[in-house]
Amino acid sequence: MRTRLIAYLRGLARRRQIGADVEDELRFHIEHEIETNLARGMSPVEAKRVALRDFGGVSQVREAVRDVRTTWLDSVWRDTRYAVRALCAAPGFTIVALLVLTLSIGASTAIFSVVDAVILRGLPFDESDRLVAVGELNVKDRSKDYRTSLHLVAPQNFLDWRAQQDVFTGLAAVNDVTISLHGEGQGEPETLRAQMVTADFFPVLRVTPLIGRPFTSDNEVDGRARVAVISYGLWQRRFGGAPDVLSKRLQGQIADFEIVGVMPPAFVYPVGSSQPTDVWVPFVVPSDQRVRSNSYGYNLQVIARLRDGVTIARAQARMDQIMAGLAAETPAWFTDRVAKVEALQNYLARPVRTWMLMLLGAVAFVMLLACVNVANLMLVRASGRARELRLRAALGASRWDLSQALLIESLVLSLAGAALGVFVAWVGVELLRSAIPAEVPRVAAIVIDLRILAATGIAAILTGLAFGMAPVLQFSRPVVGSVLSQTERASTAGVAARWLRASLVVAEVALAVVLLVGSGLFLASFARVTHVDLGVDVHDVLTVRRERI
Amino acid sequence: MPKTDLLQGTLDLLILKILTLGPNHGWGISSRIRQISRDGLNASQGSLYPALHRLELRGDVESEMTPSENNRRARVYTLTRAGRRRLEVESASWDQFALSMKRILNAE
Repeated sequence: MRTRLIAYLRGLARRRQIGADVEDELRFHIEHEIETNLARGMSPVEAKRVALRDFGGVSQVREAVRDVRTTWLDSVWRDTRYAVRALCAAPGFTIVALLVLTLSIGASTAIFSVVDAVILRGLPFDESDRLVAVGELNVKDRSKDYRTSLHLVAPQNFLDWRAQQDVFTGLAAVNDVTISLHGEGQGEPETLRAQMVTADFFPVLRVTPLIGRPFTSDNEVDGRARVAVISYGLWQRRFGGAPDVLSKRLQGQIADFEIVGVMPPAFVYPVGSSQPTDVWVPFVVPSDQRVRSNSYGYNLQVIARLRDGVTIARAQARMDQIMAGLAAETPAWFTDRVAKVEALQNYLARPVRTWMLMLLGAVAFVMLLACVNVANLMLVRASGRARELRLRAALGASRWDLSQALLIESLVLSLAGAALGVFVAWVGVELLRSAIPAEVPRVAAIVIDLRILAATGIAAILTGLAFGMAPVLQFSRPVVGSVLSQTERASTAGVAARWLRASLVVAEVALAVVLLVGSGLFLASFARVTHVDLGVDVHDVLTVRRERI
Repeated sequence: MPKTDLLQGTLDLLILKILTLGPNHGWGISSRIRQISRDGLNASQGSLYPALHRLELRGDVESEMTPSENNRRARVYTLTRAGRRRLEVESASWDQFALSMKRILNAE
């Protein structure tokens, strides 16, 4: 089997060489024959005549050999060259079709790259599918949204969970805060986005600082908590990448922090945010938040890494157990509240998930619209080529040959449209990235990479096949009738063609209406949301947030 | 002697067998077929050369252009191991076929 494959491939590679040599091969035969004839005593003229007669037609034999050596790939290449020529010869059609394909594929690729970055691509951490978020749910909440999405966790609960759990390698709490820096010495006064995290944060995500070390649970006590791990960006920006950064301090308005570590440049948390965290400090649970009293405050995000072999379902079951135990002690705290374990990726993407999926739906509609549009164009064009196709059929082209030629022309068109569309998409992504609000997760990670390009390629091929089917369906039926007849318009094929084109136009209009109505509704809801009456006058009102560090 | 037309599969078989006698070019193979069958069989060039190229694509033979006498180039074909195996297998089934035909044709 393998030797056959090797021989076949070798045969393919030497094809051109062998083709050129066939002439020599046959001529050798004839001349040998002539010699034999001469040896038998014929005259040179007669020898040659007899040799040629016995040989049969040289060109026939040559064609026969070439037929043996021609492969499917050859016919594909030939059809491709022909398609390119034909498309260049019909610039009106080609330009319009390319325009439609470029815009639709370009826009679709741009939107798809957004959706991919926000909800499809895995988080950039080691074994990121083992990362989960743990939160609380209020099962009786009135709004479905609140009932199903994770709430922040109270410190008391977090501490108990951490003490009692055995299904995670670590449980870490994250609290978003800001730190304002002084202006002297190191630069301008700045307000940095920061996070108070428990020491498990780094092991859970499996990240280690580039320089220095992360803080440990020893630092989670008052008096030892004034340490900080800073981001690579902050190190460069504020300390000029100085190598002695570990001896420096971060001078905040409330307190100074000793810098103990610098994170590597690739580490951005929250992932892909355009306002990344610059400082991580230890989270010290205030003493009044260590016991359950009458006031209930929740402000922590909790992330964890599943132990090997533990599934989310099992972790969920264990958390339910723990919650049941805690509820038995302090029932007032746990009325209607349960714990929920969710994959971290879903947790981060949840607020925007529905929007993203709707965008994908819109993309699908746009692509469909483009296909229908171009299919229609192709049908119009193909009816003008009916004569050419019938000629080819009469010369021996089979249905498959004709279908292949038509499909290859469509593929050439769609792949060209995709190539141009990628440029459009690239521009679109740049625009989108600056226009999307920073709260959408992973905005900064929106990029056109190989995944996206592969998806675009596949979409282009499917599109090409889809609208290429239109002329194929119409014209590859066994073609009967006079090749030279000028009266094609009166043929029955014309009726079928009209029906097909009419239904395509209907489909186009329908899809376009759906898209228009859909976007209209979107805009209407958006306008309504921004104009909701809050009941207070919010003009010229500022909000102030006070944090304790 | 009547010259019989050869079916494609049988021609392949003949070519493979001839090549067991040694590498050869198209003319040589054609001449041998005539010679060994004592003019009983004659392969037309329109079938022989396509058959040779097809055999090469299948891997049953290898070929090379070599300069021969008078500086003309000929394509010389050599049997491969796969070809030898195929020859054995198809020879056997051909014998079987011929035997069965004979039995039926000679039956009373």
